Amino acid sequence: MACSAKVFIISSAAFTKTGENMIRSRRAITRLQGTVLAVIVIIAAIAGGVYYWTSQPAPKPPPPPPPPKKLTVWWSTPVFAKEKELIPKYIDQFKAATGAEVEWVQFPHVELDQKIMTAVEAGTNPDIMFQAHQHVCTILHEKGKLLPLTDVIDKIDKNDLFPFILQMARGRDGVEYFLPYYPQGNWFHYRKDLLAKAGYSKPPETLDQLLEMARKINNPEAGLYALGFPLGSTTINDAPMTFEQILWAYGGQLVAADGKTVMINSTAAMQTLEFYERIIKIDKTQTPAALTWGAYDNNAAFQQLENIAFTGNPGGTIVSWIRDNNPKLYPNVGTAPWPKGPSGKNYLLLCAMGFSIFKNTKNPELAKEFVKAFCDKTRYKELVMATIPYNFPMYKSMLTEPVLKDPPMWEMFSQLLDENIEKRLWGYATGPTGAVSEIYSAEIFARMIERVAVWGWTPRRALNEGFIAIRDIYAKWLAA
Amino acid sequence: MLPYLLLTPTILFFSIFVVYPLGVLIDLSFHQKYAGSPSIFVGLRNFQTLLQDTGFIQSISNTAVYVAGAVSIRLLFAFGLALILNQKIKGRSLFRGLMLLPWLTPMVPAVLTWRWILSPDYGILNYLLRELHLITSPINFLADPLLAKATVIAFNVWKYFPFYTIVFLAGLQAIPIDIYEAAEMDGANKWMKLRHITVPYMRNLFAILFALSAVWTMGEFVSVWLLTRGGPSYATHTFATLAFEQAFLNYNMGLAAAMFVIVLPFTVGLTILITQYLVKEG
Repeated sequence: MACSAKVFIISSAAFTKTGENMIRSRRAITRLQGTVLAVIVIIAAIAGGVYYWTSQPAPKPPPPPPPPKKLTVWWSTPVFAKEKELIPKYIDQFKAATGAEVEWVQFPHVELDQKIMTAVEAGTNPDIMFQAHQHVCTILHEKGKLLPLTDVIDKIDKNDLFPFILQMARGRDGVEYFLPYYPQGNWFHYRKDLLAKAGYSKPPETLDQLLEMARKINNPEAGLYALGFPLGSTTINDAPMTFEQILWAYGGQLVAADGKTVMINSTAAMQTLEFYERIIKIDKTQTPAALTWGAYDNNAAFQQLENIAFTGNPGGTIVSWIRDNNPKLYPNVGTAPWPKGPSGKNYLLLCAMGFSIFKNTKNPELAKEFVKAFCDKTRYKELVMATIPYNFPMYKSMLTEPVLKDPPMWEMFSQLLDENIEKRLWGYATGPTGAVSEIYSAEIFARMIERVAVWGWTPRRALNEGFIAIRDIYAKWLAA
Repeated sequence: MLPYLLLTPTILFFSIFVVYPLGVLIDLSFHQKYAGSPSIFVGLRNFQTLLQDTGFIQSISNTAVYVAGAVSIRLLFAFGLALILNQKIKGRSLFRGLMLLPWLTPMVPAVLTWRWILSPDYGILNYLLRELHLITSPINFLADPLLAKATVIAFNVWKYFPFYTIVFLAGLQAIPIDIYEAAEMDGANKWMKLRHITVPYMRNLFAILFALSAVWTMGEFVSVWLLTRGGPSYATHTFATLAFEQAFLNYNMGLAAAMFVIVLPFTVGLTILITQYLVKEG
């Protein structure tokens, strides 16, 4: 009984305990349920909030900034290391100042003309070109493809410019389409030591003196020819520029100032061809190798091979190369005015490398700003001085820089200030035009020389052929 | 239907890359077209201008001389060399390898090297000739019309003969050896074997190589342009260099196109001849 009671007590205790446990469990369940419910409510609230937030129309993002304006600039490959450093620096400054993108593409200058013309044909031309000798620009200007640069040129200090700079900038319609950034002269070079050896203390002043000196200096057996004038049709511009120099000395010219009357069929032109005939075939003082020279071979003959005594060259590359690479020869390099002929005057042919802007550019104002940025006088001075003496500054005031006073350089640059030397643009009397460019690129002058030198034609026959070709080119351009 | 479907890609490719450009070229030849200017229809005027142009006529005659000279000398030289290199001589593999050098040399360095060798100012050839007392003053190989012509032909022969030699060598090795053995047993000497076995066996190869070589040489531009740019005074201008000069230096696209159109029948004619020959032989 006691046992039963004990069991009962235990059982009832156990029951009581179980009951308490059950009550505790129920509370736990209730608590759990409450927690779950709370979590659900919270999640639902969050989900609802998120739903509400995401279902609302999103606030509009700020409009993306407009893409930066872009310019493509094609540039005749710079020659000097300092120039290669400065141009990208100025372009970066321009980019930072305007936020524009600039694609700067370099081409060797003998290829740039062809690249530009084919690009124009394909409609893929750049916005701006920096080109040598204006050839393509004159053609493109006369075909109406270039933007007038009057407002760019108006911003530069015109009073300080050499007068021929503006002449170079203008087309035959009077519109300024080209900025002659790097002007160049067609310099007459001679070797002081070779002249001294032959008993001469100064360079020839007349063509007759030149012929006489050449005969005395000439020594082909020793590998030395007196004259190394560029002759053939493979010299790009050197042969026609030399031809014009000699033609002017004889009192001739390509065309009248009206730009219509071809004047090459003249006694002066005959005398010019006879001059070539004399030096090549009679005196044999001109190196025959010049008939196959490329654009740089006269430089190489004078500065590296040292096997010619006289040459002509547009731009002062010969002097700059010798200064930097052949210091032993440097004191023996002389430059002088081209010898006078029967006309009794000295002439200096001028050309330039410079900027043009295409009319179809999408950003004409930006393109003009680009050119203006390069014309900033401080930048310009730094850049052009880096290229001395290949080019000379377009500003007269910059000729006073001490670096230019070095004798071979000053002998060149002082000619710019000498009023006795008449400065003329290639293609005188009009200067560069579409017709003149075609005459140069078709190598009509060089072909006349080749006819005499290679094929044995008389100067008269060669001149007749050249005259007909030139007359036809003018007729075509005037008709256009 | 299926065959036409399968031919479509070829027809499309041919139309886009051959027929269309050819059509444009022919159309251009009837126009006065300067780069950068609109084209003006001028009918046959470009052809008339060309046929009166002494420079163009000279370029055609130069092309004929160039093709005839380069092709014949190259084929004969390559065949002779192939005969030698087909013999069991010492160092045969080395000579076969060395022989390939001109062909493997890139064109521009090859031309510049030739210009350097031939230069009257600093060329090694003039130097050697003077040292040997064969000349007193330097020869200007590229400034004399005749020598310049000979030089561009010599360069072309030198540059491309290895290819032809290899092809001839392959042809020689394909001739069954037992034919030679049988001929020897019949008492044939070397000359007789060459004349009655080798040459007849190589006849087809000669014909094909001749035609291919003529077409390729006719269109050769780079070597002539780099060596002489057609100079001195048109002496080495072929129609290819003159057309390039008209198109890319004088920007006269119409006249340049007309030059190609005039020469087109010759190149097409040669191509048809080759094709017919191959079909007949096949």
